[in-house]
Amino acid sequence: MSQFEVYSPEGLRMDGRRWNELRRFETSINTHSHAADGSSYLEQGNNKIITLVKGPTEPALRSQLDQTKATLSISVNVTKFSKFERSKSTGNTKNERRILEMQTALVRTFEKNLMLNLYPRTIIDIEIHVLQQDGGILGSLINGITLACIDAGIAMYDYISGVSIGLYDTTPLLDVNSLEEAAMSCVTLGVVGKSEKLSLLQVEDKIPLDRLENVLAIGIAGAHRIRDLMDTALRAHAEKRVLNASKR
Amino acid sequence: MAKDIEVSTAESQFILEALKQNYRLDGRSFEQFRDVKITFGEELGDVLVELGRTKVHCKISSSITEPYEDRPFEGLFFISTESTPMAGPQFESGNNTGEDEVLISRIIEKAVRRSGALDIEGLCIVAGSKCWAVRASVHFLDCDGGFVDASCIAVMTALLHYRKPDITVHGEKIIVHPVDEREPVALGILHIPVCVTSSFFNPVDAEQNIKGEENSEIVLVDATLKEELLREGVLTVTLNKNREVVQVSKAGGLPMDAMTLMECCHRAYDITERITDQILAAVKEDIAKRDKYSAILSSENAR
Amino acid sequence: MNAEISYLDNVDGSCLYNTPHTRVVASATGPVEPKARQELPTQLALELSVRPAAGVATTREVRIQDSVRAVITSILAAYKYPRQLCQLTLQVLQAGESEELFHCLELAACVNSAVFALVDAGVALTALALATTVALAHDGTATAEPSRQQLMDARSVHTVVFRIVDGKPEDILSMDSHGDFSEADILKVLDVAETSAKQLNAQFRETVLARVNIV
Repeated sequence: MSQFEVYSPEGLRMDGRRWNELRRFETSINTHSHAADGSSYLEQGNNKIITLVKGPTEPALRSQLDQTKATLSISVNVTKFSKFERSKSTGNTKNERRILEMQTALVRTFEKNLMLNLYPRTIIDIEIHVLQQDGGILGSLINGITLACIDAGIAMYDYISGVSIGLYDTTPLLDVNSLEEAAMSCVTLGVVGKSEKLSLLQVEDKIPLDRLENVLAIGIAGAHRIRDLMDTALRAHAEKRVLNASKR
Repeated sequence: MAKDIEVSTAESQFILEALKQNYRLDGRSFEQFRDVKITFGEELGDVLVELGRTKVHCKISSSITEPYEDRPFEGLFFISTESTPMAGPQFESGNNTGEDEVLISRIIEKAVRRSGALDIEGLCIVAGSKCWAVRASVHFLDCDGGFVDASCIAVMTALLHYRKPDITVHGEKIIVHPVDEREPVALGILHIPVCVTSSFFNPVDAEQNIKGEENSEIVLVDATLKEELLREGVLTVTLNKNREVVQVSKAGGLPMDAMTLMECCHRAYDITERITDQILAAVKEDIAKRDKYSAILSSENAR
Repeated sequence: MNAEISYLDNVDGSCLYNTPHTRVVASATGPVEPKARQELPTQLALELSVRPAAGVATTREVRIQDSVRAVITSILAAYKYPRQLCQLTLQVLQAGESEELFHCLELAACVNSAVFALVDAGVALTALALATTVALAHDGTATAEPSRQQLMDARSVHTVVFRIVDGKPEDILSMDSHGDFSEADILKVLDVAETSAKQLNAQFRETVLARVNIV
């Protein structure tokens, strides 16, 4: 990718953003009202993600039954056409370690944020379909789940917003796309509401220890902005629904 | 992991109450990493690491094979981590899709392989047709917590300790010199990543953790098995001596304040520094011991 | 031979088994509740896995596994534990032989360490089984517990497993022979193997006794 300049001296990124700008963030809520109890469709830059929440319902398997709280299960389906080049892997991508790791991370993130103890002996099944991906996928998944869970009316403590931050030399770049992700080391955060609490933190490449704090600070600020975007979208959606309901 | 084993209510309450009063069951302070014991086997690249009562064995082997088509200038490096019921009843043999097994192997993979700790370009013999394949086989023998940390130390120590046979290349032909004929050569190690795991406990209720301002969560470094079973969140930081963060993994769990997590990273650096020195010293000492024997042998032969 | 019993903490019985060049860790867990498909209505089910020092288990390990299973099955008092399971895991730490050519030293070490682990776990056995390896050189000398070089130079190699009853080798549970040998050779090998097994048995008793005395 040497013909591209990741970050120009003028302070512009490949897609024309400044270092602290988020990508386009558009959501629709309750997109699959017939198929699931809660659903969302999220476009974060070129990431396009459908999230369906089913539940709380009676679990199909006995092993999923917990006397004290709801069981949370998350399955991520990354479609083979989601990248520029079609995935060559044959068979099921669901058993790839990378996907398994993501699923586990998501379950453990939301286990602490959803009030599962309110729904004992049930299962909450979250199904995610990644239609297109363009970097920072884990963060987008978190946002999608947050929106869909709120739509499903599952009690939760706060929003969790996810975002990835890259570090280009000494400049942190907020909300990286796939080209940037490939060119530098990235940090993914899952931030709880408007707090500075991190539910998820992942760094997969080398970053100087002394720069990490700065990157986290930028990331938290970015995540707070995403929270606000989600909040606005949800409120707009709710208003529309209330309006529709009162018309009837 | 740990589906079958549970800590009894009485014991878990005891452990948590003790933690609230600043005590750990094994008498360690909260920031204290257990002592690491490194033992070498008879062969090169055969290492047993003991972290408290956790035992992990790692063995390096190498062979000559064909490189991947899309990476002709690189050798192959695999790390295999498979757990068996030997380490404890919570592990099943042949099942490596359990949540914790996947997380353990992914973290080790990221910490050692993806971070480029081993110079895989140095494993190339003839570009596009022949290269070394190095395999690190990690065996979990006994589990008392801290598998990731112990495995990472074991793999890195074994890689530093291993010597592959010397070779001579004549065009397409390769001569592999037996170990007793020519001194075998060390692998190229570019940096030494060390993992440090911190576990989080919440002494207050869930709401206070998420909404509260106190940050009263308890942070333990290097948890034992019982502590691992009871913890609510975990952070594994991998660092090297160059003050580089190689990998950080906090896959959900108890939400923690960003500053607390940074503190964990800085604390991990001190531990990393110490363990790196210990690894290097242990390898150096063992290699020197082997050299001494060969020196005696060679002088006898000279006579 | 030297064995460290109760080497591991999280299993019922375990043993680190050292011979000069071969090292095996054995662990035994049992009797425990089996999975439904493993359960046998009248006796103890045995789950056995042998894992190599380097790489992943291949047909070679399965072969060792089957030989060990044959031996262990014949000495286990399996009828005492109906619908129960015993898990035996044998992890080779150091093969001590060229892995592509031989498996005899590992087999012997696996059998012996498995028996140690079972005794340590307190699983009922009807007898002990002890294995020893004998290499027959081209000049006809038979050596018990051969070294790597002796194996390479041998005309044939034999791993013999004896059943020990009343403190002495009574009958042969398994004999695994490779190479070129005659009937007379076998008799000679068995002779040497028996002496070696007697020694092993003495050491075995010593080790277990030392362990029991500590407890």
